[in-house]
Amino acid sequence: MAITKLELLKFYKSKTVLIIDDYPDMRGSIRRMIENFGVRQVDTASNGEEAIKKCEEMAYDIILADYNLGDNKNGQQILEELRFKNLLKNTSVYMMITAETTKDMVFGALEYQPDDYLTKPFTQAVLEKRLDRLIVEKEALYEINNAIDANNLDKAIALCQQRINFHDKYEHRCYRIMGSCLYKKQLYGKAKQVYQHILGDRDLEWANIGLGKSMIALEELDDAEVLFSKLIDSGSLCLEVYDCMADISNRKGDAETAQKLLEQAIALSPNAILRQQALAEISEENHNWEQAEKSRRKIIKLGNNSVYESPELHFNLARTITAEMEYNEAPKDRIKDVDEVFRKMKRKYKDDNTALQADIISANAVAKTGDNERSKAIAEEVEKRIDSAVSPSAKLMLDMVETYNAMGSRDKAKELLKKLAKTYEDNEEVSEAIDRLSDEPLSAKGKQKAVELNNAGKKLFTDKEYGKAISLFSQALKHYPNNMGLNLNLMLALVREMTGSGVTSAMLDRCSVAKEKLSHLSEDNPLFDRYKVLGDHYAKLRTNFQDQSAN
Amino acid sequence: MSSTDPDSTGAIDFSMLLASSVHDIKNSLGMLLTSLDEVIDISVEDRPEQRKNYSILRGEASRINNALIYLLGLYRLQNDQLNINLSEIYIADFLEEQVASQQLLFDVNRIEVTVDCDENLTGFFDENLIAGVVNNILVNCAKYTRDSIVIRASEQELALQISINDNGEGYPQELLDKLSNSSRGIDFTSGSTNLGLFFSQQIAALHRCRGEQGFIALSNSELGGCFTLNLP
Repeated sequence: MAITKLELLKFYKSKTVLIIDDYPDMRGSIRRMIENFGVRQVDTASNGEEAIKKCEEMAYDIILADYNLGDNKNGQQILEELRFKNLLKNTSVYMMITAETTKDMVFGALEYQPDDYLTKPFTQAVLEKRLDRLIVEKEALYEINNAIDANNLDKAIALCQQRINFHDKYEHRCYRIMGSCLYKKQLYGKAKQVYQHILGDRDLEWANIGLGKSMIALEELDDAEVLFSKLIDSGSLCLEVYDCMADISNRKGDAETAQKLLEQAIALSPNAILRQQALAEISEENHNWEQAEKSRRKIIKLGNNSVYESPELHFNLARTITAEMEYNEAPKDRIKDVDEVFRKMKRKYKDDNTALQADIISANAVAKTGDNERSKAIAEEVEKRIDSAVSPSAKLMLDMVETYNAMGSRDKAKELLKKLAKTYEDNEEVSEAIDRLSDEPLSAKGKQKAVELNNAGKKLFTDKEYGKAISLFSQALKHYPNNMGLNLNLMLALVREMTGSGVTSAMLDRCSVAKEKLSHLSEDNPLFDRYKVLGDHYAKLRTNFQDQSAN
Repeated sequence: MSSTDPDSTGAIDFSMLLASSVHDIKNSLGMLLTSLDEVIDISVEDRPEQRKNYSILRGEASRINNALIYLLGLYRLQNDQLNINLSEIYIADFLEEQVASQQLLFDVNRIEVTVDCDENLTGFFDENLIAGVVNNILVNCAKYTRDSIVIRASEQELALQISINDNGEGYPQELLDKLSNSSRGIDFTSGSTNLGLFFSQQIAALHRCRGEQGFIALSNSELGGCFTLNLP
């Protein structure tokens, strides 16, 4: 089992190494050490961009990265980008060099952790021992990691099981890999078993997080919440714990707590772009536009020169400001900000469709200022360009739907949505987005879902479980915020609940949001009578409540 | 932030000041140690007789580094900022690495160090903190042993036990008494503060599992001194 010095030397000779450090002295010093181990090809990079470029040219076997690289991307961000771009194989070694003990740093997600941390100062002998150990381990688990690189998770799981039966020192490591493979394969029940097995032996953070994530996936939200609360109390520095807690709150329908948790995590590590994205989305859901806009701006900044960079980031910011204008007291001022976003964007992206999509969103923003004539003029011009555009994206067309809605051209919006629903029939993601914008389900899946919800709702109404009905419809509205039936049903559940067990201002507010969504119903709509009756009920409840609080 | 609040009493939070200075000094020392290693590598070939002096330089610098780590660690311990980061460690590799980090010291003093540990033995502890504990004892042993240090690791009743044996005169009685006395603290009057041992004890105690707590022990035999670290 033990590998001899000679065998190690042979390994080193065939390895390629990349050193990332911003200090030339440090790079030189580490390079000399590595060359002393027998490595022939040693490259260096002084910052993240250079490092990533080098990795695009060659798949290195060993990467040594300093965590702190001055103002540039840090070692953790480089790691995340390499993994995201598939430039770092699982069979390779990524070692992070830090000036601090590891606990001073804040950890992101488990899957983005380096193979090892090495604390400065270190001697050549220590670096050699560390690398020896990692190389021997990567060699021992080569087949497993190779299967993961080839995305053959079934094979990786089987190989882990084989290796576990050896009961050698890699047993735990294999359980850990197996757990994450099972999770990725969505075999959450099996993943849960693996983590529970480990936790029977030892209270380990990675196993706790793995268990909690499996529980969330299995919708065992209460158990998961207890587990993650315990981790937070014990001072866990792994930010994934906060992400999971936010996910739980969101799934439970408490978007406000979810937002607070994400804000906490972002205060600790403001440069994680995916977390900023999650925060922006949840803030929008909470109509917390200030935070949403802040996050959207930060995302554009973080996206610069990264894999995430795209016109979509700019569109998102403009959409957020446009949505904000609806609730803003002085919407006219904000149009300047939308213009500014697109001015900057157009300097960077010069293709026709990007410019077209920007103008579509602009027309929406102009409509929100109340300048109907101008928005109409832009829309007409834009319609012509859409007709001659070369394969406009689904997202572009959906933005057009929103613009029609903002202009009050509901028929045009509906017509376009129907057309899109047909074109993108087989595309689940687009179908979902279509149903989100539509006031009735248009996709096959959306229609089926609506039937199911309706039946579940009916049963709850017969059982007089109004509280449960409220949470059922609120959840569903997350996916289909404009759906008329759902909004109407939510109003009904709220009115019944308040009539039965008392009025609260929170419930009145939710009722008002649902009513707002239905305000465009025309009198000839079959739902109009029910809407009218519920609206009167709501108004009465509101007046009584206000009179009571006044007394 | 409260520390910059102009309305506060104006007194400097000395312990915080100390902690951040220690932090700076530690970073400088890190650079110093790295450069020193390079200088040693280059010049020892020309003047081998200087090796002993270099090893003293390096040994002392690494002692300062260790002392600063203790200070910082104890500060965090007091402020509840010190969390342990449990992970699974391959014991044989871990011990060899600790020996490697002090190899120069052992070579110069002609001390033979042996590690006796099953290749497949693993343990669960905070690697950085326990590395500090083991390093401190190794440097200490190098000073007091005659010519050998033996490190043994094994599993004893579900706990990991690491013992470091030297063949010197053994630990002074006073130290043995102090460690067995449960109400120990730092004795600033005796000259030697035994900060290292105090810290080691605290670190060991932070490791808990199934109601058990880690501890350290000192003992003497006719062969020499023995330091034992027990982690549940």
